[in-house]
Amino acid sequence: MNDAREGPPLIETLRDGLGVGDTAQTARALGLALESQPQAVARALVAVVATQEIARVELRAERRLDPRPSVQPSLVTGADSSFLGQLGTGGDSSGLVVSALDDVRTLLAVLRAGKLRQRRAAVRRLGEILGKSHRGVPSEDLRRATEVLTHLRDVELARELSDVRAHLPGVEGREVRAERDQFLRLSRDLERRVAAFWDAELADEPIAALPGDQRAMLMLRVVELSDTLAFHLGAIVEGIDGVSSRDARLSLVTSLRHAGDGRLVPALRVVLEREDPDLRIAAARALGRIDDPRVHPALVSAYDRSVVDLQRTVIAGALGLAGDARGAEYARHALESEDGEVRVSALEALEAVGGTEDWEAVARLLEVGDPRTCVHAVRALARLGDARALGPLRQLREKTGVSAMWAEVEDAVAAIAARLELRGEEVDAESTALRISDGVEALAVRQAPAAARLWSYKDYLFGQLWLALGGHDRAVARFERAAARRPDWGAPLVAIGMLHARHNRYSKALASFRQVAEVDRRLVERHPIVLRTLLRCFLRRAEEVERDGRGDIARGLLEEALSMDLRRAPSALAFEVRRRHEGMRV
Amino acid sequence: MSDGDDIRAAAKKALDELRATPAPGAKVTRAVLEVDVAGRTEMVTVVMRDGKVRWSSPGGAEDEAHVVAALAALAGTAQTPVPGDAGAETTLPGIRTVDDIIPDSANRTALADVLDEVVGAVVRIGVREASGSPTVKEGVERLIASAPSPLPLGISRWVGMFREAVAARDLGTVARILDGAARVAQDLRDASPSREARRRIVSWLGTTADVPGDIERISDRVLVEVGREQLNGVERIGIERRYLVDLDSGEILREERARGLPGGSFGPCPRIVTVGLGEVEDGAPPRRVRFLQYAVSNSVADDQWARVEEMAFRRFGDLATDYRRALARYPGLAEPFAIVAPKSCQTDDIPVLLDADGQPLPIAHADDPALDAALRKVADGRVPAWVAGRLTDADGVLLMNLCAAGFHDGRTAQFLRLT
Repeated sequence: MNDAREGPPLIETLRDGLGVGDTAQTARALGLALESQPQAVARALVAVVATQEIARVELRAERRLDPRPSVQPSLVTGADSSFLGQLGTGGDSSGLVVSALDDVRTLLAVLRAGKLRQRRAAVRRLGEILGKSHRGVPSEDLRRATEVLTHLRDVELARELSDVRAHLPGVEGREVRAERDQFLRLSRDLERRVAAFWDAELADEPIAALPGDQRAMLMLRVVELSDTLAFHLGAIVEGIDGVSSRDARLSLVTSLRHAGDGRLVPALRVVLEREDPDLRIAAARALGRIDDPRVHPALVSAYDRSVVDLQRTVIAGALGLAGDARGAEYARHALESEDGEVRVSALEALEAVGGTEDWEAVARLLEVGDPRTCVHAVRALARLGDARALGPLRQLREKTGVSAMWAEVEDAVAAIAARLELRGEEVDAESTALRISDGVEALAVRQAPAAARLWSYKDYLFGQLWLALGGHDRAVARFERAAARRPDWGAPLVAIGMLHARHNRYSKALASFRQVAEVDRRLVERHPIVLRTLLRCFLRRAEEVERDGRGDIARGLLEEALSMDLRRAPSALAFEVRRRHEGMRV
Repeated sequence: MSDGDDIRAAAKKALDELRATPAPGAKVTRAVLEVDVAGRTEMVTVVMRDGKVRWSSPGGAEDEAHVVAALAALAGTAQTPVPGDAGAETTLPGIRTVDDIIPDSANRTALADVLDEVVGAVVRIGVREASGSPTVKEGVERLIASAPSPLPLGISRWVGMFREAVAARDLGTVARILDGAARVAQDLRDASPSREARRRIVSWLGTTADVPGDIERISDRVLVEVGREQLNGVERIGIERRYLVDLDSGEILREERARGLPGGSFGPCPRIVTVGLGEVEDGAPPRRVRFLQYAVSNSVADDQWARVEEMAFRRFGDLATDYRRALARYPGLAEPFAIVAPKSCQTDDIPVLLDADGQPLPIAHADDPALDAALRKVADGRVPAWVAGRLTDADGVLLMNLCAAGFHDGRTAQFLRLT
């Protein structure tokens, strides 16, 4: 049985089929009788070809590579020829990279206006500049950089910012280092509980049992967790921990949106390939933010196979974050959708893949009554960075009374101004100036008489004294008296709220904080410690009422929290509140 | 009163005390019983599967008395039969022992006929046109319809590989897959198949094959999971496969589960599985394992990783020999998996693993080019202590589909899961 006979080689017979050749000739070549049944010829043919092919397999020193052509999908890039469009992040070979920039002002503008990977690289670069000898860097620039890095609360940059802040001197650095110690304690404790879970000593999955704020802190720093915890997360994501429900998995995958850890890629790819739509969407969002070579082909494959608008637009956005603009047209088209969810996901996608030409279509959505669409439209305009959007943004700022929206608009205007600066355009101070809404100012005018203020201050001081001595009830009584004497003063109410929060009496704490917000909203929104405590109270209280089966009330609480300007809140906490709110909406 | 009666009476009493009745529709599908016969205690697992009862015990045939006692307890017979002397009829009527064969010749012949038809159809039409051929498509659909339900993973995987190879018009692989099917068809018709033939049948049909010696019971083993991958079956990405190394014997086993169906053990990758009781199918390598009683630990100790590394191939030439041998015996069925310890690693563009003799083991770059990029990124200039992957070939070159890699990170081991 060999090929040394007349007619085509046997492998060609297999390729072209017995039907087009001479079966008798093939039978003869195979050493079979001429009148053999076609079935017998077929069996003998595949056996001979298989044997020949198997015998060929070997390793040779000169054949070091896979002989087959690669199926790697190519990267579809946009046509942005501006400075930002050309700016690489250091991982590629392009000439202009963030890690090579030395000008602090340029880096700060990239931090405001760049895409996610550029902003991450800018934080790292600023950290390097602040960390080494400052010779040659103007002190004014250093001060600005420190200030921006200290006060920036961007959940997408939380880990990078934390790394940089930990090296800063003074209170800020100490706070971050203390926070990091807390994280380490938490992760060590969790590691013990996860080991106990797999040893069947714990029935409940330990991460699901964590309070929201602790969970958010861990999920934003997955990169810093040990391998055993990262692989445990992967097991839950894949649904093979044996206890987690589909909802618990969805909750975890949404928590991992900003994790950015390559160790999660295999598990997220499994979810993206074969799970239900909600899980796939959450996995795509998490994957898009991970800088790993396996992400892009997985997203391209999922994008090509998706036919549902919502999934496709979310994956288009994730691809955009991974540097691929193939979904841009689809996202533009999806802006016209009747479905509000699709419109929001299209706006989210355009943040990553949109161009300045999209500003008008996006700005039209500012007129839509739905606040969620409006918020996403503002964010998209910030990333598109077109100066023509400043007008509609200013109008929105003037007509809205929600401080969360003011915060979004102010950030968007700053981002557009930064982009103009990077383009070398003159930033028109008039067009980027925003008028403060009358509401807040009006509240600050009413003032109590001098005597009342004096007595009130005395009560407040005594309250603080009782607090220091541990007389909590007496302290609260004093604070209440101070607040009653001077209704325009928020400090005593803040003290009451903080005291209740410290003792986990979240509902009482919320009542106090709400009174403060009525009197002086800015006292809450501009004081990081107060805002952090307030947000934690909202989150914990929402968890409590949700456990009691009152989901609507929980959602209302989170909505109330989200109506505030959260720019000074810890990004992990703000993200967790948004994530919970999104989860309840779904 | 027998022991079986004792436990039933105690259970009845407990139920009375609870004043509870089973929920409507509740079914018991698995029971693990601790059985004492003549002072020797063994765990017997009894499982209902496809309407039949199957059992396992750590000692296999040696535990017949324990199995009989367990079955009698479940069956509620008043008298627990006592096994007699070796060779005597000791089992209850209607209960199978592992040495029985229940041939289902009609189904087997039907399955064999469909396989022959698929082979015949592809050869008649030719591989070039087979992917669009309605006859071939219909043949595959009939194969799926003729197979036992639920569809054995061996058949599902064969269909997945067949479709991939036909779509790629890969003549060598198609020939091999069809040869595997033709051989299985012949084996299914054989009244007394050889050991190799039985293994081929088991690879295809799993335990539904009901061939003698299809299952080896294992116990007290420690396995390390070193990788998992998603493979095409009848459905795209329809099979999840995990690869586990027996730290004692060094054998690599695979655990599989079908997409969307329950089954398979729990746990992250990597993990340690301590097997109390398991079943290993005697099929094509790597052999398929099922865990009946097991414990999982999420932490693999450094010395256990060191043991994995010890077992790795250091001469890649041996791999090619083993690969050809496995494929020649089980064409279209064997999917060898290997762990190799490269001496060096070229990482210019696509990484190349090299052994001490400078022999390269190419990485299957075409299937998933991102995997070697991920390996290169994590390696960051280091040589992996070991690399694990499924072996495949293209144009006569042996290739490795990457699954995982291990590194020494100072004094500790680092694991990289790629798929």
